[in-house]
Amino acid sequence: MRKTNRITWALFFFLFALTGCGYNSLQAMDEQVNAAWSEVQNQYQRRFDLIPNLVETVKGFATQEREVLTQVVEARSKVGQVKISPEITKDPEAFKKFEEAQNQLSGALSRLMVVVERYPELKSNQNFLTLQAQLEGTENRIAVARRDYIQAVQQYNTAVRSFPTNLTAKYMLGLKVRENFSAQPAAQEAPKVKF
Amino acid sequence: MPPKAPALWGPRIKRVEMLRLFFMMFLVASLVPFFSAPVSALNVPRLQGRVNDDAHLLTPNQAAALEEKLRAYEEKTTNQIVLLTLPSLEGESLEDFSIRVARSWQLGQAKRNNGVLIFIAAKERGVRIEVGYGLEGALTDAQSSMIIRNIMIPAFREGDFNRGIQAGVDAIEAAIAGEFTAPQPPPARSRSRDNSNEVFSLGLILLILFSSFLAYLPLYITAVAGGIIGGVIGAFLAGAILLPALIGAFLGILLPLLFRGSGGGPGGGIGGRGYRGTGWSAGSGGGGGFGGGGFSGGGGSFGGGGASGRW
Repeated sequence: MRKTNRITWALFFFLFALTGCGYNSLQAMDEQVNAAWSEVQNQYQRRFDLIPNLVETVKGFATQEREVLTQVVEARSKVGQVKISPEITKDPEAFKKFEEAQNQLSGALSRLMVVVERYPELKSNQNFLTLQAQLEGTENRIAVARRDYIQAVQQYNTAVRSFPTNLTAKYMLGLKVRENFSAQPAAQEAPKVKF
Repeated sequence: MPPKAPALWGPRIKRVEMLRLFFMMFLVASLVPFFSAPVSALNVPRLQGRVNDDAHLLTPNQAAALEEKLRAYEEKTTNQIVLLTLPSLEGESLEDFSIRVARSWQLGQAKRNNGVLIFIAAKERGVRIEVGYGLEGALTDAQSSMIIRNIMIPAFREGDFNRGIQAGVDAIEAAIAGEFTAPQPPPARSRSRDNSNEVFSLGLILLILFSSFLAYLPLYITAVAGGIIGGVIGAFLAGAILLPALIGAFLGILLPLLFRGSGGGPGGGIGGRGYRGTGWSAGSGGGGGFGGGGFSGGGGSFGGGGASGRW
């Protein structure tokens, strides 16, 4: 009878060791960060794909706004140049480049959306209104995706850094701290229209 | 061999104490987030029904009519449209708050994510249509924006909230129609699903009773029998609920070991959690479930789709 007790406790401790070290939860958090990241990328890609149409439409009406339009096109091409590997969230430099390029594009786009307000015929163009609604929607999704990513990474990084899960992360799974977005309220807000 | 009892698994009292300690630790740990959660300016209101007119933009009759209309629509299509009006946002942004509400209410069916939240902030004069993942293709941002701009806002400007909201709902339903009318879920099918659910929980209860009974038999019999029972139940309920069955088999082996002699109580608790983990009561739950506060979201998710506007 004593022997069975010993086996019971050995099993209990084995189980406890396996769950207590955070092996499973680390895996889950890792996956969650991956999922949140692909959502961020998706939404940025969506915005990227939207821009050519938007620029074409605005060009037809707002001929004087060449400068702002050029800024948008240039910022977009810079975003296109940033190579995105699956490892980007573990590479501070690449991540920073990505974020900077996207922020620049956000800035250029919001400037564009402000200047178009001067063109009433553009504001009554159905095609433009559709594109504008899509852009606003996309900016909102980007904000949501970024927020979700920030939360997922916070949770993950806390686990990777704190004891005893850091041991599991380092020696068993080889998980590294992930890069997070810097909180930039200006970049997180959808372009606001000023009168 | 002298009976030497190591302190750790000596008297039974000690083990119970230890379990109690673990439980307390768990309890304290689970309470921490409540205290450390950031105090936000505006709390998500309680979901009262399909029409949550906290800003009192509608008369009781109008609200009841809308409630009935949305209920009928949900019965027909399973798409869940819910209205929330608030007197003020208290400084929060329309978009941020709207997604918080939509996510916390979990509108739409879990598998279809087909929820829509119409959110109106009266003081800020802001409207937002928040669209669940599953409807983003049918009710696009551009369509939502057009509905707000061309249908809702003109009526709101005239102060006719009832007309604006009713016409807005009609337009949302029209936009979704064709592309997303769920295949009619025949009641017979959902009934049979419910049955299997009951069979499953009954099986689990039997399993746990059995395991605690088995706890009084020698270990190897316990383990083998637990495994067999788990396996049989697993085979019996194979398919959609394979995982819980595996959990059942696992518990069948483990529980008698952990709680030998301390009764079946803790086993019931753990078993209950495994069963709830399947989470598909949420899928059918949202379907017809309004009856005096019994209304709830079905577990749908939101990713920020939709549009907003101001009047």
